[in-house]
Amino acid sequence: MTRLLRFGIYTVPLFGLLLLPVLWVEMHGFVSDATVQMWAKTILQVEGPQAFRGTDPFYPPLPYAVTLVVQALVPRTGIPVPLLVSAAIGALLLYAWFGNLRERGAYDRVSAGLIVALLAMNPFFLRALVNGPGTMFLLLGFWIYARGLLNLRLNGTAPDMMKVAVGLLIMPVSHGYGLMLTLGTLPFIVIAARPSMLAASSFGYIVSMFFPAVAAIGSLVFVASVLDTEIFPAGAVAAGARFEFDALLPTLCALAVVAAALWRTRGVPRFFLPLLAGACSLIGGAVLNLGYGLEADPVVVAAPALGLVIVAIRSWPPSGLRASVIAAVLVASVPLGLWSIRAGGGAESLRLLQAARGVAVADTRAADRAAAAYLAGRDGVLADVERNPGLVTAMGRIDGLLVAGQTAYDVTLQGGRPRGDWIAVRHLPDAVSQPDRLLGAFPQLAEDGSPAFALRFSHAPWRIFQIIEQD
Amino acid sequence: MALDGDSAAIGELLLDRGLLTPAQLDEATARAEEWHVGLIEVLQSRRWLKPGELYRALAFYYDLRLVDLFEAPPDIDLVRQQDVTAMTDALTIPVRRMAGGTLVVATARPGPRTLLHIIETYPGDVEIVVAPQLDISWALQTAFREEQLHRAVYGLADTDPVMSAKSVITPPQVVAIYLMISALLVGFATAPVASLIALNVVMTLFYTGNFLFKAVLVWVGGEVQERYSRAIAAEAAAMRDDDLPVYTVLVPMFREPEVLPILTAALRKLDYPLAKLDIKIVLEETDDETIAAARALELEGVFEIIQVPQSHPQTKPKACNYALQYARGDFLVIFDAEDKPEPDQLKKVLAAFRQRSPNTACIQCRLNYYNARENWLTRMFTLDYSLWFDLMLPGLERLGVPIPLGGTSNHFRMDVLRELNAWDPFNVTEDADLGIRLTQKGYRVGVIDSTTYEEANVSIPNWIRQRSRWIKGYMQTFLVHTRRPIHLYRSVGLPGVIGFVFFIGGTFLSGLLNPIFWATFLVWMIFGADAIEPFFPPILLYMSLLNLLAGNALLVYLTMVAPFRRRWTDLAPWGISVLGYWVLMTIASYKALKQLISNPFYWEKTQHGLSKQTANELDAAKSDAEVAT
Repeated sequence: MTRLLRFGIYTVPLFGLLLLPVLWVEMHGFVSDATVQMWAKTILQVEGPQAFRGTDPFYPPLPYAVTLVVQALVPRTGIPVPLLVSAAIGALLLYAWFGNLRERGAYDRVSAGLIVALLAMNPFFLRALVNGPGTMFLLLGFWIYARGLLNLRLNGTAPDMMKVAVGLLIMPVSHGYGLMLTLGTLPFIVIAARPSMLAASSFGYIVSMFFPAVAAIGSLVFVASVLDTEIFPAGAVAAGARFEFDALLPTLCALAVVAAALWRTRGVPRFFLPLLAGACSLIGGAVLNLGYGLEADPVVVAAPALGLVIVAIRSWPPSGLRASVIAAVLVASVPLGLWSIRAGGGAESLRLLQAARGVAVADTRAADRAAAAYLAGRDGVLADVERNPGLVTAMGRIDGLLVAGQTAYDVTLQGGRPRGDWIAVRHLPDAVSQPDRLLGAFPQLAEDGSPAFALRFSHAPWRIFQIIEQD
Repeated sequence: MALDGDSAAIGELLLDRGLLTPAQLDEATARAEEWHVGLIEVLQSRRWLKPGELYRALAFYYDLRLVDLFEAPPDIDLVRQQDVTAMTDALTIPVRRMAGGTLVVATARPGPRTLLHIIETYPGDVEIVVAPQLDISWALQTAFREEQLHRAVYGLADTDPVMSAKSVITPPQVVAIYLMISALLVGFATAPVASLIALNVVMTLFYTGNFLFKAVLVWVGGEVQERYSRAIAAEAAAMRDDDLPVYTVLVPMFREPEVLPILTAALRKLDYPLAKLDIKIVLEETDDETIAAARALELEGVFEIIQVPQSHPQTKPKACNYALQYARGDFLVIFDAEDKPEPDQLKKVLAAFRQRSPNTACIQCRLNYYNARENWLTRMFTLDYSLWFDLMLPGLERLGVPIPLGGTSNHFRMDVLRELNAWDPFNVTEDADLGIRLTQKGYRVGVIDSTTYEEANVSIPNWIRQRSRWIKGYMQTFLVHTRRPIHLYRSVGLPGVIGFVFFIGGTFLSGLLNPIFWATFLVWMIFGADAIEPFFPPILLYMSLLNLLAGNALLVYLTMVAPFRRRWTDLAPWGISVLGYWVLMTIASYKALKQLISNPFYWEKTQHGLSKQTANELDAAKSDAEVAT
């Protein structure tokens, strides 16, 4: 059997299996904000008018580019395209983990399969899966980084070094929190280095390790500058995270297996130190995120820990009971993980838990769907689709919408002169500032008092007006 | 193995005459037994005796006349009737026919085996005389001078002209290039913007392929090397000296007398029985200075000076081809004058030949520099070589892509080397060309983990001269091996063709194309996107951006990764400045292109011995030599 065929035989069913929990929670009303935003951006880019030019379209570039390609290939799936990508990355990861445990960890087929299955059922894995490709790429990146760290200590070859660098490169281009995590590795990467590599120059070692990440971030800044666009979506940083110890609980609990492996390898520095460096990197990233708040949900912050878990399992010293002990620890880590999610998880994770239990959660997209239903078949609709991605995903297409880059939209937004037939705004009464830029340009739409507009539809937070008068 | 009777008796004779001390005789006897060679071979590898003394003793022992072939040169016509290779191997030569019809045959190795050879080769009455080995070698070189010179220069061009760079470009290639230029001009005339975009697409795709290919090479090369290295080192360590074959070491030199002591010191340090080394110091006969320096060193008998007659082209491959005709080894390696191979290199190579597939005809060892930290250029050169030899060449081997051999430390099976007519004297990177030719002829080239340390260029003008020659040679090699594209495809396969195009073509094409993209970037930065937008539709712009940012970053990063295998982490940050090195490469590329057109066979000489560290090495080698005497 060729490698390609074997790859297909394993990953295609895995892909299907991973879609099941995704569809299950969606059926119960849960779709993550990250998924909605990513999907909307790709729909706009693929199906939008030629003139469309987003102001904050490309970060994070890696999941965005991949989703864009898939959206172009299979535009009408019914399932959010980012979740398809997410499931594909998940299948790839599980397949790679299985192979890694077999080849590098010398696990038998049954043990490796059992371990991988338990990891796939881990709540942090499911959280990453439904959060979209960004989080899955983040997990992939951290696994490559952690694997490289261990191999670098064991072998010290160029590909091992490249793994560390590739991991550090993937993380910041996959997820906003990836930047924090990459920075979080900085103080600890030296712990795992082979002494011989530090002997000549520790500075040279550090510079080489971080060059790809710095180059990636520099490239993003350069592209943003030459394409005259933003790097981060507006408000991403402002979203913030809670500066509380609770927020670290998911990360600490996700490291339960790693802690056990650290204890088991405490006398073997070549295993112990890379694992320690990986664990410290995760904690470092999580602490940094408390301060800078690039990811609001601590459960998403904890998800990359699974990459280190697989490295820890691969490093576990061989013994007769190895697989059984690891399976037991993995099983025990599930309730621990669930407890940490309840104790320290973000609102979205809590909603996910509910949906996973089969409880229908408040569907945040209901209003979007109602607005989309009203707009179906109408043309000349002005809408700030970048700030309201839910409207795009609810419509599943953007026919009839006037968006950034089109003259009517730009004149309306920048010139203060409404063009088109309809204007749809999202009004959040409790918000300090309204994210909807059309509402910002026409604050009177928050009320009903303007002769130029006639309110035709209202389903909080959506308000849709017919444009009566144009200058 | 115990010493044979003749060797023991000759040893006693030398002891009796006071030419050897008892300790020297004991050591020589021990070495002869350990290496499984005769006493004379061991004595040839030591400087205890002057050549005349040894051969006088031999003549006395065998009761033969000693002749001086310099004073009484042999009859050229007689010599030319014999096979030069057989005479070289047996160290015999016919001198003259006496009045009574008796043939006088001189030998440097009198004994039963030579006697048998003489009886088989020279029927009738024969008088055997003794002559020093160097006399015989010199006489052979004189007798076959023109014939061997012609073979050295035209051997490949006569027998396999399509593989020779004697014709820089063939008529079909001229037609192909003419058609391409015509198509381009027609395009510019009729649809200039579309043509520029099309050209841009081709160049952009080439760049993308180039950097991806290099990344794959480094990844693959790094993965495979460690496993093989351990197996080869283990087998090399277990080798017995008495099993080792005779190994020819060619050292072509030209006007570099200053590095001779370093070279001879390094060769003496090889972990290989010196008596089984057939070392040829290959010098141009007009290079009086180096010839005089070599003679002044009073080297051991295993060092033989080969003087190459002056002729066009005056290139290293021609000199090597000439010297090859006097080589006696089963294997052959080329070292440059300033090379310092790792002592166990020859044994590792033999182990590699045993472990690799039977069609492996050449083993390339790694090259690196002993003066890496002397200045910015030496650091960059070291990073360049580390990337090339430590990571990319093992990757090429793993992927089955033809390997362009690097200038020195390539070890050959002698039979294959001769079968292929050795090096192309018209190609100024004859080694790279030979590597590709070997693959095209069905042989494999291996790469092993043994390093030869050289002197990195410390001077930018000198570096540009050297690099322009290499790039010109790559251009020649590319032109030679693309003459028959279908044959190339059939002999090396699709991955081989792709690898060849990116590795050989990419090396000089990127140097030539870089200024175009640098200029475009500058125009963009200075005049804004409007200036370039017509020629960069969005998808092309994104691809170009990918090349500019990801491609360049990746190449910088690969340069930084390169020294890690040797744990030279202090060099890694210098990789960030590789852009400056690329500028130098571009200058060298254009110089090479100009020379390819105006003076294709001109050999840009690299001056060695400029490094401070080389000066230190020279002092150390001189003191070592004094201790040895």
